[in-house]
Amino acid sequence: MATQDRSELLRSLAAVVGEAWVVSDPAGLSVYQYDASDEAIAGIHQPVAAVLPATAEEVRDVVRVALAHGLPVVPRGAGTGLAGGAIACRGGVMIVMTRMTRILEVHEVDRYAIVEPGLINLDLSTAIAHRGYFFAPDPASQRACSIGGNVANNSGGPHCLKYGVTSNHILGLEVVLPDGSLTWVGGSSAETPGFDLTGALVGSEGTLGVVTKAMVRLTRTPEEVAVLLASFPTMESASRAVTAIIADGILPASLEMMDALTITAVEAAFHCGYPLDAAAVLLVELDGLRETVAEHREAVARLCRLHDAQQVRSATTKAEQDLLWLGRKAAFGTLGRLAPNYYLQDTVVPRTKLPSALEFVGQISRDFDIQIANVFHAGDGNLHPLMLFDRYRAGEIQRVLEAGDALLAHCIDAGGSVSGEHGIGMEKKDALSLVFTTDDLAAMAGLKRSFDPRELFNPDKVFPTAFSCGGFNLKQQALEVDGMYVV
Amino acid sequence: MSSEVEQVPIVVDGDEITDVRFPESQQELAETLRSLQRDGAHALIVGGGTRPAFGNLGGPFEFAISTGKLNRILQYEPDNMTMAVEPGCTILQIREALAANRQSIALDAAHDSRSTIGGAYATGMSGPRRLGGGSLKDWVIGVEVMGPDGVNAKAGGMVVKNVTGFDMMHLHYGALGAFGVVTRLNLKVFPAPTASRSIQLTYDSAEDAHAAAVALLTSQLLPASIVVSNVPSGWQTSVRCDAPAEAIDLLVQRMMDVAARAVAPNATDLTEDGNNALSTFRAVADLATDGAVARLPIRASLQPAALPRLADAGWAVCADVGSGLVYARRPSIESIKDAGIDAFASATWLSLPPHLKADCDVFGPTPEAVQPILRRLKDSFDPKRRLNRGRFALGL
Ligand SMILES: Cc1cc2nc3c(=O)[nH]c(=O)nc-3n(C[C@H](O)[C@H](O)[C@H](O)COP(=O)(O)OP(=O)(O)OC[C@H]3O[C@@H](n4cnc5c(N)ncnc54)[C@H](O)[C@@H]3O)c2cc1C
Ligand SMILES: Cc1cc2nc3c(=O)[nH]c(=O)nc-3n(C[C@H](O)[C@H](O)[C@H](O)COP(=O)(O)OP(=O)(O)OC[C@H]3O[C@@H](n4cnc5c(N)ncnc54)[C@H](O)[C@@H]3O)c2cc1C
Repeated sequence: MATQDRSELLRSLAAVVGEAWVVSDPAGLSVYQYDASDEAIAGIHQPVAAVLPATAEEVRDVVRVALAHGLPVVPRGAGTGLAGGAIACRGGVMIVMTRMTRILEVHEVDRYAIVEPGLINLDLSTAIAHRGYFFAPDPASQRACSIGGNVANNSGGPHCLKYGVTSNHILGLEVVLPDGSLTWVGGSSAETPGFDLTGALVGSEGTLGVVTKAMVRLTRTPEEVAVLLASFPTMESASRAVTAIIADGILPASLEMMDALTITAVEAAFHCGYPLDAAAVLLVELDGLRETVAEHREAVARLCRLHDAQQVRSATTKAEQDLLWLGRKAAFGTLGRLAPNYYLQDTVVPRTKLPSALEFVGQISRDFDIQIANVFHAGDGNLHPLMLFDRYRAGEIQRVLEAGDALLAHCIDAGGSVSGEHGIGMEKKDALSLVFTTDDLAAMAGLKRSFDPRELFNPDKVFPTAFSCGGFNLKQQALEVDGMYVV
Repeated sequence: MSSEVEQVPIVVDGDEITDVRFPESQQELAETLRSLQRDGAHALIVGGGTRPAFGNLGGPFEFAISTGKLNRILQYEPDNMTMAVEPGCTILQIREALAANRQSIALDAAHDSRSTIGGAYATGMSGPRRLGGGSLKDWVIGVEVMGPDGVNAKAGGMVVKNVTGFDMMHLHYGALGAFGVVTRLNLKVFPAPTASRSIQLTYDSAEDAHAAAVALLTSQLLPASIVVSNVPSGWQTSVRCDAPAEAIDLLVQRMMDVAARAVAPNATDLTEDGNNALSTFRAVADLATDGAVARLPIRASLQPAALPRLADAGWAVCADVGSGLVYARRPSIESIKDAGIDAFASATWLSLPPHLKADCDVFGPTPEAVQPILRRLKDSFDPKRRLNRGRFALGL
């Protein structure tokens, strides 16, 4: 960017948000070159400026400035994304939501709240807990990630087995659209007449609009909660217990699994009481009516024992329950005790394919000589193999990436998909071609171009590198001219 | 094939379509669509034909394409809680297949032996059981849609959690076939409740019936649906309870206690069949060809004032309390402006006589900023307006 243009851009941005909230020096900007994704992606690309607006109107005006300069816009929440979604891979203006953290309205009877996008996920549930409500999507990163990031990634979390992913909990959104307009889509009722642009925006990873407010559904806290820990001699027996629980008609609030490597790391850090001699533990949370929870607790314990559980323990106090959960939620962090780096895969298989998928993870670990820890959402079939490595050892990163690709290919062959919850971003965009044809992608490109004809919103994300959204447009023009086209 | 599938002709807003095509495979459907392009024709998509009049005045249509014979269950994996179906599967067909494995979907379609899953998805409407079970859009994990060029495009997959690519499942939900013919739906299904009951509580005033409903809604007792409606004897709060068989009696008792503590009812009626709670809802929300049915987004907290006002203006009303929606029905209506209530400004008209449809967008107002996006979407997916033309929002 020419120096003069750059100065003019920075002046215009400062006029909107105030000079203090425009970051443009290389040192300050280096922070915004990273999210929580792999080193192969993060750290390389720098935006021209990172802007921290305080209101929706400021976001709109920042977008307008960027558009006037023909620059891309990259929204960013807390930067905990694992797929490189909040990286400015074509430069441009990064809009950082960390100052927009207010809870604007809470309506108990109508069961919704309106919040700003930078609000930390857990802060919402904490703020409304005394009223007897919570926000159901709970990524393991919920102490750090933002609601706007959750919306953009359609994030999951342990409780999504029963409560569904983020899209099930978003009623409406205020967004700045790629033409620079600020508008609401959706609303406080469960059904939007005729079209569901809210649903299309959720999970679109900042490529269709910048979320400036979210109307989120609040869930009533359950009457009763039970947390059980079951330990197993093999991963396979634990996986079979998972299938048996579901097949019995029980839908736990969550069903999480951790393997021996994870248990060792977690126990060393937090002493949660996970048995060190187990090959796998299942953390099962049941919630709902008193009577139902009591019924299901018995049944889950019985089914775990039937599938060779060595031990089944039920946490009796809230403190005990929290301790069991602490181990799960902090598990990724504790793996730093075992290796300097990890590469986290996020793939998903039909639940009954878990045993074979886990066996394959073991195979990959041996073939590539990489230690792999598993801590994941077993009830959803959403695997998170964490490959441990040291990036300063020659060839390590390459080996780990190859192992990750092999795993992904296996899971897709098993009827699974590319990403269960972390998103596509830059990291996985080329893998989209493994599950979608050009026709599938062309339809998605139709959605993208309907929102963003100039392709300035978080460009170079989600779509495979070789696939051009513009190419789809040519196809459409042919359709317009001839009435039909030959594929 | 059942005779119901071949109900011809189809009448929409007074127009009769006698040429109805019944493709039996995806290839046949693709060929039919290509012929549409070739001949420069326009087609109406029909599922079971229970609500063909929903939508704006559209057409004219040279022929209709029925999905009635695209009605196979393609894949059902009970242990994965997933099912893939063709669009012409009826709600009943799906319910029966699921029941064999003690699973269910909480769809309340009125004519379930005719209503198709494709039609339910395209109209984007769920009944009051969405309170306990979520709505159809929450359970669709994958979709395939065929464009007017005869090309199928898929999104999502057969796994319950998936963020691979854009969420086209939501884009086509409620789109009334504006962007293509839905050819496959992948569903996430749930364990069926082992017991269901209905409680009907009768009150003198809408405020009391509503207060009881809100007491239940804000309790931790998880009703599967709560509906408040005006009945000849006053106002009624109908509640559906789902629970394990061992717990149902106790739960019903606890629910009645909560409601009675808020406001004691004049009368209580209890039935073994959980679905009874829906009958009043259906009576209001069901299609009236000669009258008007509106869906009004009125939040639960605002309903106590709105309900009696609607009733005083001559509407049969029914509030799906948990979802913040009110359905209002009147056998005849002269003009929308005379409907009598401000709330109608934001109504979706589920049914309206054709001459009144001509004066309004039945989907209600569309925010200005969104209008160009909807137009570009239609241009992108169906540039020549071959499918269901004119029937979607903005007359697209
Ligand atoms: C230790 C750890 C555990 C995790 N566990 C989980 C888990 O259990 N489940 C799960 O789903 N994820 C998990 N994640 C991933 C991550 O936390 C989620 O994807 C989260 O939703 C990202 O939120 P963020 O605010 O950090 O977004 P960012 O990383 O800042 O951005 C993510 C994407 O959202 C877009 N975006 C952000 N804000 C907006 C906005 N206001 N409008 C439009 N687009 C926007 C960005 O452009 C980018 O594409 C985990 C991450 C870590 C580091
Ligand atoms: C007035 C009204 C009241 C309702 N009440 C309830 C209720 O109480 N409970 C409930 O659960 N649901 C309700 N619904 C939704 C109802 O379940 C669906 O409308 C019904 O299932 C439609 O099924 P059908 O097969 O008869 O569709 P049809 O009447 O044949 O078609 C309905 C619409 O869907 C389109 N369509 C059908 N199939 C496809 C396809 N494969 N691809 C693309 N477009 C398609 C048609 O073009 C048409 O516009 C209501 C709907 C309306 C309009």
